[in-house]
Amino acid sequence: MQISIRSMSIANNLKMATSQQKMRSLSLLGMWGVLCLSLLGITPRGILAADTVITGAAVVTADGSVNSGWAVIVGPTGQIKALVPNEEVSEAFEGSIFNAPEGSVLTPGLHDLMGALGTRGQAASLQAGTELFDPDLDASQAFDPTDPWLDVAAQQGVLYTTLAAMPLGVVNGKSATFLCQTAKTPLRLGEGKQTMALGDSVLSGNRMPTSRTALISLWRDWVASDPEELKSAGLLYVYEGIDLRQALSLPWSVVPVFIHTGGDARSPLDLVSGLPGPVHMVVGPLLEGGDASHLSMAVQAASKGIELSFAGGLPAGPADHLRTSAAIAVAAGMNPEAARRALFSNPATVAAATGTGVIEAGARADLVLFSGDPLDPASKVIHLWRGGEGQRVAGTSQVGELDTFRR
Amino acid sequence: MKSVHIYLLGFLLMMPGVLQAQLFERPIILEGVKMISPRGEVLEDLMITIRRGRIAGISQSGDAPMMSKKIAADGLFVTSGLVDHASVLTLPLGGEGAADHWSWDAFDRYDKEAILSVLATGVTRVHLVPVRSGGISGRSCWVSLEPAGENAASSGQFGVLMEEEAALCIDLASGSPVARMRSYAAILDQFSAAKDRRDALESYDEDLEEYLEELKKWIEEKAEEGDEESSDESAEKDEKKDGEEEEENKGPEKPVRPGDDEPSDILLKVVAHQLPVLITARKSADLINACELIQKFELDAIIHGADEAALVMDHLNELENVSFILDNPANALSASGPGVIDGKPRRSADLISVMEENDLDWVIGSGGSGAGLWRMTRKMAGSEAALSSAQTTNLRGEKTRRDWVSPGMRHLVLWSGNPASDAAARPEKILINGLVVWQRPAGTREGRF
Repeated sequence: MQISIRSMSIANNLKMATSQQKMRSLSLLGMWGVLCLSLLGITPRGILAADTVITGAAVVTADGSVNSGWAVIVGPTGQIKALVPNEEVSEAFEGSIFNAPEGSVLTPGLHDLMGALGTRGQAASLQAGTELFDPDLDASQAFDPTDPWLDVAAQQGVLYTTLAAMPLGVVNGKSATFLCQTAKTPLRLGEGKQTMALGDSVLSGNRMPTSRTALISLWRDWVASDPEELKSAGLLYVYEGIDLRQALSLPWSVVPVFIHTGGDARSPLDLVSGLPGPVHMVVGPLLEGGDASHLSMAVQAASKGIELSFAGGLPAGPADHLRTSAAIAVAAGMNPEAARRALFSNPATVAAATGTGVIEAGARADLVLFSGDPLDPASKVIHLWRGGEGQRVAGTSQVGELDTFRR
Repeated sequence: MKSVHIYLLGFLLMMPGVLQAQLFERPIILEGVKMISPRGEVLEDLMITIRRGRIAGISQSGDAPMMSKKIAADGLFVTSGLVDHASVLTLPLGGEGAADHWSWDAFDRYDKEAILSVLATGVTRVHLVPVRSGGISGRSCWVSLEPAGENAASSGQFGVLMEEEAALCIDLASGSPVARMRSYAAILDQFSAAKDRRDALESYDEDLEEYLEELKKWIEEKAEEGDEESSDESAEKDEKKDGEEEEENKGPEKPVRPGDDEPSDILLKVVAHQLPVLITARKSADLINACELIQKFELDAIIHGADEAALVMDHLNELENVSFILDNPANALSASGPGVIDGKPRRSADLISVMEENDLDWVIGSGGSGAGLWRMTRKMAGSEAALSSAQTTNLRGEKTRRDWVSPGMRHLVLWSGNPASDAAARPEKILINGLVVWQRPAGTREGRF
C-alpha cells in the first residue's frame, strides 16, 4: 500500500477544516511547502510500506553542515528515496520507523582512502612500477572481500575502502572502491580513477627515470602527447611540496586530485587554490603527536578553499583515525563543515564512488548513526546501514532508545 | 611632617617592586565571558577581574576598575586550564630508571614549539611521569607550563615547578612477560633491601651506644692492666707473640653505619607514606602484581593504565585508598579482532563505567605530550564529564577537588564555544598569572608557520 504523506496530511486537514476559507489557506500553505521543499531540492515522495524511515537524528548534508528536522526515507532497493521534514512522517505509517536517539547525527559512511583495508593488511599487495606507464593495472586485484577487518571497520562507521597501487610508476592503473562488508563477493562502487605519481617514489636505480630531472622530462613528453588518461581527473601522488610545485608547472587540461600526504610549509597552496574549479587534495592521516607542519598545511589549504579529504590508514591505524584526523584539524583551526566534507562527501568525489558520500535522493543508503557530531571524539556509532540493511552496533546499555525500532 | 613625606617617598623609590605592585599594577579584566558552573549551567556576560595573576572577582555586572587592562574575551567561554595527569612532554623515553631519577631534570624547558603546541590545546599543567623500560622509573613532578626565568615574558623558557615530588613511578607494564616478572621481582628486592636498610639504620644508634660503653670499659680495663703490667718483668713481655698482643689490644668492634643510598632513602619515604607510588600496570597479571606490591609494603598508591581492571576488580576492591589514572592508547585496528592472538591488554570499552560502578576514583592522563588530552578525555569520559575530569591537579581524582573557575585561580582557558557541548570549540587564549601565554593566530594567519 502506498501512502502519500502530503495527501495524508491534506486529507487530515480537510477533515478538520470546515470552511472554504480554511481550505483555501491550507491549499496555499501546502503549495508554499511544496515550493520550499523544491527549493531545498527535496521532492515529496510517497513512502512504501517496505520502506524504512530514519527519523529524529540530525543529518550531515553534502556541504558538511548538520541539519536537524529531517527524516531519511530508505527504499527497499537500498537507496535513499528522499529527505522529508520530520513532522511529515506520520505515526500512521505502516512501514519501519527508526526513531533515532536525541542528539544523534546521521551521516554517510566514512571512507578509508588509499589504505589497505580489504587486503588483509597487505598494503604492498598491489605494486606498480614494473612498467612505468601501466594504465591497465586495476587495484581491485588486491581486494579480498573475505577480509574480516572490513566488518570490524564498518563497526566504526567506515563503510568504504579505496585501494590504489603503490605509486612506483608514472601511471599506476585504476583505483578501486568497495563497500566494507566481509562477504563472498565484493561490491565495487564506481570504476575508479587513474592513479599517477610525480615524486621520488617513481625513481629507481634499475630503470628510467633515475633522476628527478629525467622524471620531469618524461612527464612533459607524456603530457605533450595528449594521452587518454589525462582527459579525465585522475589521482596524482605528489607527496612533497616540490612534487606538487613541479606538477603545477605542467599544462593540465583537467586538474587531478592531488594526493599530498607529506605537505608542509613549502607546499604551493596559493598556486593550487588558483586553479579552476573546486580543487581536491588528500591529506593526512593526522595523528596525535604527528607532524605539526603537515597539520598546519592542511588547515591553511582548507582556508584557501581547497577541498580536502583525509587519507586512511586502516587496518594499521587506530579504528577511529579518520574522525581523529578531523577532530585534530578542527582543533587546529579548520572549519567544522570543511572537516565533515573531508570525512564524507569529498572522499566519494576523490574516489569517483558514485552514489556514495552524501545523504540525498538516489544515493546508496550506506548510513551511520552517531550518538553526536562525528567530529566529537565522545560520539559513538549506534547503528549503521549498508545498502539499506541495518545493523545495531551500540549495546543496549549504551542506547536504550533503540528499543523504539519497530518491525 | 615634611620629613616624614620625604622618608616615605624615599622608601617607595628604594622599593620599586612594592611601589609597582601596590600603585601601578593594573588589574586585568575579562569582559563578557561565559562560564560553565559545576552544575552545568551556562552563566553569561560575566566580568572576571584578575589581580596579581589570580582571579580576584567574578561578577555579572559592575564597572571595570580604573586603569584596568582589558583582554578581548567577549563571548568566549572560560574554564580553568586543563590538567594532564600523565604527561611525557619533552621527556626522553626508555633506558634504565632509578628511584633518584627525577622527571624535572629531564624536562626540556626550552622546547618552545612542543610546549606551545600543548598550551594551544588548553593544557596548562602537567604531571610529568618518567617512562623507562620497566621497573622503578623515577619521581614525577607537577609543572605549570607558564613562561619562566627572570624575565619570563621574553626568556624563552617554559615551566615552573608546582610540586617537586608527586610520586615514585614504577612501571610493571613494559617488556615481555618474562621481563615484567623479572622487573617485579627486582622491585620487591629493592623495597625489601630498603626496609632492611631502615632496620639497620635504626639499630645503628643502639649499636653505637653499646659500642661506646664497651669501649669505655675496655679502655678502663686496659688502663688497669697497664698499671699491673708495669710491675711485671720486661722479659716475659718480649716472649709474647705479636699475634697474641694484638688480640689483647683489640677493642670492641665498632658498628658500621649503612652508607648513603639515595634511591633506598626514596623508597623508604614511600614506605613511610611520605611519597605516593604511581604504578603503571595494564594487563590483569600486572595489576595483580601491583595489588600485591601495594599490600605487602602498605603503599599509598595510584595505578596508571589499568586497561584490564574489569578482569581483576576483586583484587582492586581489596585495596584501600587506591585511585587510577586512565588513558586510551591508540592501538591499530588490526591489533585485536578476529583471529588475532597477541599480548595487548584486553581493554574494557567502558573502563570509566567499571570504575564508577566500583566507586573507584579516577582521572585521565594523556600518556603522551598532552596535546591530545582534551580529545582523549571527551572520548573516554563523554562530553558531560569531560570538563570536570580534565580540571583537577589532584592525582587522587577526588570529586571534591575539581577545579572550577573561582577566585584565586591562576590558569584560565578562553574557548571559542562551550567546550562541554560544542565539539568544534577550541581554545582561543590561554592565561596564566594574568599573562596571555598563547593565543590563536588571527584568521588571516591561520596555518602559517
